[in-house]
Amino acid sequence: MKKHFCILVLMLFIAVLTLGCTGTQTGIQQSAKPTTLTLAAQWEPKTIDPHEYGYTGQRIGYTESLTGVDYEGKVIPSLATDWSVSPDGKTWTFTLRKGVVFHDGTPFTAEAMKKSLERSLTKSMSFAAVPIAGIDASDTQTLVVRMNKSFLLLPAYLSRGEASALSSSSWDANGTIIKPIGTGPFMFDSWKPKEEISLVKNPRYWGTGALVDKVVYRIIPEALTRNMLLKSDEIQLAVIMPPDIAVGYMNQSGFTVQQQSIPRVRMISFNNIKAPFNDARVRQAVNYAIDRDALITSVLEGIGTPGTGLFPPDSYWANKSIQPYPYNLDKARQLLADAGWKDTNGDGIVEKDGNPFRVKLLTYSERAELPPMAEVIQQQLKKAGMDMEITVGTSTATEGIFKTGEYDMYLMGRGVLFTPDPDEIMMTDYHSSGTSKNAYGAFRWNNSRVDSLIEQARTTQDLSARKAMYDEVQSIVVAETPVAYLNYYVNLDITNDKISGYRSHTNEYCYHLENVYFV
Amino acid sequence: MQAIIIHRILQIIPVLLGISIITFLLVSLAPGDPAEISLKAILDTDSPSPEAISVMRAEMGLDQPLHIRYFIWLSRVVQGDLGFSYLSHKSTVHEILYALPTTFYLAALAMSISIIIGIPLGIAAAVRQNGLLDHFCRIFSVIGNSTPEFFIAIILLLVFAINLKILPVAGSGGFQYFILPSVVLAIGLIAITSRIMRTSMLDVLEENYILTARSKGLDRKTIITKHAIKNALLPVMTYMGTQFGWLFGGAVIVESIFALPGIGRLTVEAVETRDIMILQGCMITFAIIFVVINLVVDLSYIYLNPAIKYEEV
Repeated sequence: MKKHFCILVLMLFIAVLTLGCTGTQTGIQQSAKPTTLTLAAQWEPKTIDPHEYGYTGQRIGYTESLTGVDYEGKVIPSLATDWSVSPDGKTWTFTLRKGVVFHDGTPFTAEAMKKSLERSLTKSMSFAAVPIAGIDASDTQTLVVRMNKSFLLLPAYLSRGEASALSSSSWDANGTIIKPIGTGPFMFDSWKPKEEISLVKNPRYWGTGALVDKVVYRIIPEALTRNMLLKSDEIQLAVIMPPDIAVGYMNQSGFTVQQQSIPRVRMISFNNIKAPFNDARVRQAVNYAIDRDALITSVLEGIGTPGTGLFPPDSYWANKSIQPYPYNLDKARQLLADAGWKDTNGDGIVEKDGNPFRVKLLTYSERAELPPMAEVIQQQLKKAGMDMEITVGTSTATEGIFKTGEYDMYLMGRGVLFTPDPDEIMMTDYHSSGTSKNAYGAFRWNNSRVDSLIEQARTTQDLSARKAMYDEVQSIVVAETPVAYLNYYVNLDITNDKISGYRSHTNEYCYHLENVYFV
Repeated sequence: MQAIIIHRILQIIPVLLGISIITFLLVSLAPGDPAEISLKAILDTDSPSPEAISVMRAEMGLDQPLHIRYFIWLSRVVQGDLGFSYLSHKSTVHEILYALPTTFYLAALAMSISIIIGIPLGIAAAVRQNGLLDHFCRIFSVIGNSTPEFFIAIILLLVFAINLKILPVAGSGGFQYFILPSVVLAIGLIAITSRIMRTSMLDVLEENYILTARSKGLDRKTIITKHAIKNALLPVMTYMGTQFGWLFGGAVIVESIFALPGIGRLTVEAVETRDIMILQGCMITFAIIFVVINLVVDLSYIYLNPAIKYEEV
């Protein structure tokens, strides 16, 4: 029996071993000559079709769109060198870049882009809000997009990966993707779902060509594992690392941590129609009573940028002249006193007409740093004589309470540039048409000057003129403070010092791996 | 014999039906509107438009009452149609069949390692009861059984992948990628297997037939190898069989850490993205694997031990 048993186990073991060997046998390429850049991220493309899921191709560089987004987050030329809109805002004309070829060698023309865009519109829900009536190729280098109604955000929307230019040989007769054939500095080679995407250098790239021969993009959901891969030299770049891991690399030689604030702000939205926060002075008092630096050191491991306005300071759209609210308890107490809130019974909490100051802050647990941040704010406000109660729930539950208006403050993380243009967030969160409908931003707040500026910006084409309008909106919002900006989310990317040339992008639009080289 | 087998197979049906109801309810009654959550992921926005949500609800069949949705769902499941992932647009069956071999391979490797190490360890500990090896074995099982898998994984990664650099950190390019994850899974299993083997062995050694063998003049080695081990193995095999299903559970953590594209990771990702069809598919797959393995263990028990007769069930 024992002998039989041993043989059985041995056979099972051998069977298991051989099973593993017959599988994918590619392994890791170790040859020294062709350079291979390996990076790891948690993002997994749900499908290899860029028109359905566009981020991956755009980030690692095998697809490009008509427009791009620069490091400040503003829309710049990419496959289109120039664009203009008719005075009624209904006809957009794009001049396409000359001398661009797809990875399969076919020329990039207006006709090819028309086919590609038409497929984007059917495949992706990203363009549901874009009123496109039709697309025409008026000559080989000119593409005309007709709109049903005036729509000035088209260039911003066309920067999305779902609008990337694909050669028509990328899909079969049924419209199903075979292989993404784009125009980027790297060509798509292979995809192993949940494991990796391999790219090779595009020798015919229209811009400055890539400096490495191959790129392997590894899909590693666990930050811990990306950390291990970095330590064992299996990868040169790990993107989006948690602060606790990144802190360990900050003073370590051989690695560089890049800290990049992203267009997502942690903020408190006040209930602007309910006492006590219907009084701007009380809202300002909260702003002065919050020590923003202390929030970053005590909750965010020292990683974060104190909040000034809606957009992070290195964004093009940020109003850089806005002065942040300094931490000033005297000023906070003074403002409260001006609004009628004074500590008359000496219990440390201010009262008005005999009622103590007691407010309710709502926040959710999905973003793990928010509840501890709420607790620190609670202590800080207490020092100024404000008593705050915290309610933590799931985002679904708190959203339900939020919509009923049964709260005083809502602490949240808010993405502000889903399309690389301020219009969307301005309309939903600060224009009265949005704020009257339970906006996440300035809840039930309105300001006619803000409304007219936002409307004016919608019909203005000149970039710097629009920026001036949005700058004014931002200063009004900060002064009247229907919301309190606390700090911005930060992406932490870590590279080892074998490579150089990588720069974190503000909204992870593109890694620009073509600029990366081995030193 | 045949009747027993048929009876046992028929017993599975209510179990599976119960599982299907629980699976369906768990996913349906979880808070949040799946259509809205899907749209947030697809459109990468915090606030999808109400029109888009209602289109999505209709597309996902969420506008029907709960019990009708269950029967529609069940009739499709029975036909092997587990729906589609709203993210990848691939069928659930395709996604699961893609992931299953990796997990099977991982579980089989972990099982093999724990048999090869755990059983001899248990025998040795029993034969020299309260000896040095027995004490070592006891300490090992306490530590091995109480240390969480992710912790063992980090320690092994630090030693073998980062300091010694002899094994890769993560991925699934070949056999070497499966060594660390399967050892992590095996450690907890070895800890228990060796203890059960030891206890079972000690019980058997006190049986009358062992005493008979000894009084007959058989030497100790023959008694242990020819008589004791054979009988002591039976409860261990039952245990190991059921543990095969447990390994699939452990795979959830191990596959995430080692970035293996198995069904454990598929489940985690389905939970995170609320990819309902995939999540239901994974839960049903886990349930079927558990039930089938239990059935096989039960039946093999009858086969292996003629003393047990399932005459009337």
